[in-house]
Amino acid sequence: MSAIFDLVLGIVTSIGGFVEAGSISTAAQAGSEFGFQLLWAIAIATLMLAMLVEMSGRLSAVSKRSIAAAVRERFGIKFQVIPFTAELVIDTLLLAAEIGGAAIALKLLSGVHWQWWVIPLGAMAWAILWWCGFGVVEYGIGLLGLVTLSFVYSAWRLQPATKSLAASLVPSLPQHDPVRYAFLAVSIVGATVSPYLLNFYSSGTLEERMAEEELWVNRATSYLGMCFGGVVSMGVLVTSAMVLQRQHIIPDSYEQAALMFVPVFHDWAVPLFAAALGIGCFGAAVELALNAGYVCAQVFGWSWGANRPRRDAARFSAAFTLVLATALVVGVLGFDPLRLTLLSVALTVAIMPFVVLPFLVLMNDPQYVKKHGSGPIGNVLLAVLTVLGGLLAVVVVPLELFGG
Amino acid sequence: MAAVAISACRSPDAEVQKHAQKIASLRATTLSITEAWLQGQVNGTYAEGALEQTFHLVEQERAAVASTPSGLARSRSNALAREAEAISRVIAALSQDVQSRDGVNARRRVGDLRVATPEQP
Repeated sequence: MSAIFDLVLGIVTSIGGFVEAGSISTAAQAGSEFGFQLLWAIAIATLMLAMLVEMSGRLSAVSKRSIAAAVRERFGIKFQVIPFTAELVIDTLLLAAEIGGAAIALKLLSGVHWQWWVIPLGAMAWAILWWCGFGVVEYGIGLLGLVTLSFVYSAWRLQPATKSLAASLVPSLPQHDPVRYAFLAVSIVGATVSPYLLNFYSSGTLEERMAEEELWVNRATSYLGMCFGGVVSMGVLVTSAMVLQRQHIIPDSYEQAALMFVPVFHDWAVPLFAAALGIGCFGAAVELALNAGYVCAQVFGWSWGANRPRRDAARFSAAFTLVLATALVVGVLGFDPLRLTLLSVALTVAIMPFVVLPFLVLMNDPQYVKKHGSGPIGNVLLAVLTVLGGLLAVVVVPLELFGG
Repeated sequence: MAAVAISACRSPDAEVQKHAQKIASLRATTLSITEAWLQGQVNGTYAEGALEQTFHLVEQERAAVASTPSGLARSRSNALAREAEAISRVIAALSQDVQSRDGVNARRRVGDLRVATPEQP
């Protein structure tokens, strides 16, 4: 009964925690510029993420090591230094973007300039990390994040043609601006397959002490939770296509994006959009800061854990505090959160081979996964992901320059 | 990848077209925000903030279109820069209307902006 409860809670919180600044901004732009045509990119990215998240959980439940620790141990620090540095930089940029997104949500409600909200939000995130355990971060924020289901509701109320939606799940060539189309497709992948999610999930598996016998819970949570989360992202794209594209609005700011809720929610549109954006971004910010602490501690072999007393994990606590403080400085300096998001999304794609390649090795090493290896189908899929990751990494910089 | 690389080498006309699209989007945004405010679907706090943000974006586009003398010498760019300036003026006036809750004036300006709306690219 407890396992079923954990499963349902895990799925529900995965849905609530799926949508954040990156997925909202890329899906809203994709919908407003290309209608439903980029739905396939969300579908593929979600399947990629679900697969990698399931592997992260499996590896941690069996080996009792997180992804970062396993990579450090198996590949050595000379390899680890690249993904570790890149992940820290991306975490910091994305953290600044998420806090900025949450601050803009508060600006939509209060009218007070978003930069005034950066420090209070950062302090709130730090307080949650300092005083609350992993359960509050994982479940509390995930449950509040269910407000993002309003994107799915609005897409459903707008009654898109089912045939067009189904056709958009198959990749097709755009009728205009192929560079921009390719840029948005790659950005959607980058916004969805964030490296922080993999290590965060893997560390969460260890925090919750998942046993080898509970691997079915891990599989169900990752596939169902991520796929339902992907539906929320699709809700953003469909709503944007049905509302913003028809009005010829291409959202370059969250203020513009908020207009997508007006036809369905009327006078509740702005409060609901602000709640979805604010909770989604704030939840992601807390997870990002925590993950930065996890990665530092796991790579350098420090004691770590959100549930541990702070004095027993002092360097871990110092690491997440430092990363959070750095992100707050970036936010206070006034860098545009939307641009920071797109930049970190591009960087995520650029390091994708370093994120995916270790899985191919680790998931076939009995020292880490015992008898729970990937199998031929899993290996083929991982090889495809690695090649795809490599290709995306090559094209992302020119696309960012010419299509971003 | 080759197609992407070839398409990536944009001509100046394509750049101008991109700016025209952005300016049309910002004009549509201005209309949408004000109409939603006039219909009571969004409050003044949001409308004011959103109009201010749209104003900044229009100014960015105007600066981008008129960033070089040779660019501004092109008739299309010149027309776009003037169009952006006109939208900025309307947004500034609309912000005042929202602040003073002057629906009558705001409705009139929306009407003017709609009449002046060029065909969508």
